[in-house]
Amino acid sequence: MNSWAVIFLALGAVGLMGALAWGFYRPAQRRDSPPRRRKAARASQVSTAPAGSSELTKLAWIVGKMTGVPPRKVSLAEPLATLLAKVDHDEFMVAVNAACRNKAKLDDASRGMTLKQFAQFLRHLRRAAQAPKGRKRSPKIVGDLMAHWESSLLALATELGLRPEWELEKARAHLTKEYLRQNARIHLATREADRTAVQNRLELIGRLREALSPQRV
Amino acid sequence: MAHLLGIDLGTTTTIVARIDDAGAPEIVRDWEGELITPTAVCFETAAHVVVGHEARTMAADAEHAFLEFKRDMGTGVSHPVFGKRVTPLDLSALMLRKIREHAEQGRGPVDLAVITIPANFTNAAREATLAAAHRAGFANVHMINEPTAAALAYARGQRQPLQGLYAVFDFGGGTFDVSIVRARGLAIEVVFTEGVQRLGGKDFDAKLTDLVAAKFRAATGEELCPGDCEFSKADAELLKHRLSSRQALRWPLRSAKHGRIHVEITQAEFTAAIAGLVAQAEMACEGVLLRSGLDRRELAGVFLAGGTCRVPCVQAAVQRVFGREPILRDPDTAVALGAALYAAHKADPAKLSPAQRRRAAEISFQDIAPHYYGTLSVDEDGILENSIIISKGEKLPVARTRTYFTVEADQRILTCEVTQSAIPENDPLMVLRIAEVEMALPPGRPADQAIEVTFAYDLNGIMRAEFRDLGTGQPLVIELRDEGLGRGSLNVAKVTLG
Repeated sequence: MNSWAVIFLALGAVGLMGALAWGFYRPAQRRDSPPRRRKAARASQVSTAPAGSSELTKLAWIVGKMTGVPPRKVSLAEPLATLLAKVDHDEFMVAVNAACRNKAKLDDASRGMTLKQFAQFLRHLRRAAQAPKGRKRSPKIVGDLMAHWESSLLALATELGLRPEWELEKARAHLTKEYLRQNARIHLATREADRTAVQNRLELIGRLREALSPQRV
Repeated sequence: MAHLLGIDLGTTTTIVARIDDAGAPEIVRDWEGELITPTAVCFETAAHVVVGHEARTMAADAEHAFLEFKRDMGTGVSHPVFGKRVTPLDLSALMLRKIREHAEQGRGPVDLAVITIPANFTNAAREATLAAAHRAGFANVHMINEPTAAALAYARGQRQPLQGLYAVFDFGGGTFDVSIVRARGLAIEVVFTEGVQRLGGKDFDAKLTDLVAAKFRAATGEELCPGDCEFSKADAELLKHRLSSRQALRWPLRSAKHGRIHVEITQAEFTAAIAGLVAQAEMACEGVLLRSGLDRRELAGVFLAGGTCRVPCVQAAVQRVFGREPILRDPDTAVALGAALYAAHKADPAKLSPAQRRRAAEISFQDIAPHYYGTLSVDEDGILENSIIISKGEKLPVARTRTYFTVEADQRILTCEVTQSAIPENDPLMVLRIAEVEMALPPGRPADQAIEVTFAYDLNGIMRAEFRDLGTGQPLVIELRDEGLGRGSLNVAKVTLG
């Protein structure tokens, strides 16, 4: 036998043994890692939608993977509270923030949103976090004011369909119509709890309307 | 001479006006000699009740003292008092009884009382107010919306007769209303009304209390709690009044732990705290312009009513929305004076003195449909929707007819429904169903049989809803009556199958 062939076979055998040893060594190293890291690793293991996908697609993908439903069949109309009934919310938010480059939290207002509204809410949050570029100018569109808003107002703006690119006058007119609609509902509320809910909502819309005033900046 | 009263039964204060011998409205001083009476009721014992100033004074300490109960009218709220449950209706009845007894001293029984109510009061609240008035012993009662009453008072009080469109901005202690009226002297035509049921000076006081609590926390590091430091509702109201005329003031607080502490509150801080509430009023004003299809430049003036209008940022908001400086004159008494004028308008002329009759004849009043009325139908896609037949703001009397068609072949039953809503709403879940009657149809007919539906709302507050099967000519008529509860509170009075 050619001496080169012997050398080649010997190197192959050494390589194979090394690969096997690495295979045995790695799982042992994982078992020793602390639980806190393991949780984060699990959340980051949720595979995300293809690069360039919209927030909504990314969210549907995450919900789908965590609930065992194909992303295309994830309901866009159900509130998050229902969709995530059997899912660890912290883990969900770790995956969402990683995929959408956000620092959002899942509060009560967010749990009531549909997946579509939540995706829009995340876009609002990201936009609000961005520092304004260039010289200061008087606010002309909703997006110019959003950096000053707290998360409850951002959530309401999302739910009521206020778009960052809307001019302030258009946004205020839209808000007035929503206010009138909510105000009419007080006649339908028969229980005190319902009346209080309508009342709180009206107050929040009032605060949002105030936040849309240019003199606030 | 008729004894006619106008009662502004407000959330925080009550004011009574009467029509004098010459036919002019005047404010009646209460049993304490004051023009304004706090809306307060206090049970000293199960049998002894005090109302007004005394009850207000006792409210801070007494266990069974009640304030601001108007906001809970027509709701299921009740309070335990000496082993009994007391509702806002009971409390209003006690307040009104005292007013009636005082008014009747030396002047005989009241012939007609007009009680003012917020434009956005629910049907249940209107009914509860009427029931309270009857329980208080008023035999003949009418109701009028607060901004409409204020418009009447302003129309009478102007040196030059009013001519044109006016907005009436009524910001009271507990409720907010805005109306657009067309006035020609004392001829008042309501164009459109909008209101918020729980928005008033009391909410301003609550925000001010939060502001004081925050200042106290900043000064002492502790929460403002009643055991240590008292800042009552009356204090908040007083502070609000003072801040309405001053840029800043130092308010003394006595704390058991920290001694005397002064907190400085500026008008700017107060304005910022209530900005969300004022924004709600602004939206209601924009809504009334939007729904009435009017431009603010068409308005000839803006009148203010209600004590909360004294707050400078409220006046600024009115000016911002309507684009003109508002007129503020006796905001506390305008509603009661207008109610008394309306009482003269509604009273039996035979009972009036010649002077009263002459003055009452000058007043005319044109009302509007107070809500959207419609029926439920199925659209082309088979989805149930609310179909509006009479729109809010249409001048009374009004009659509108629409034709619908049966859905199925051999349809035996037609459900005839009458719905009511405050906004043009298509969603059947978001409207009140005020009548629902089934009509039998003859068997064996194909689908698409025409059903003609006519709604007619007359000046006496009666609405006839007629559902006529054009195939057989058979009509079903539902008569809904506004039984003096104020415009828009309709109840089924009669159902007739022709």
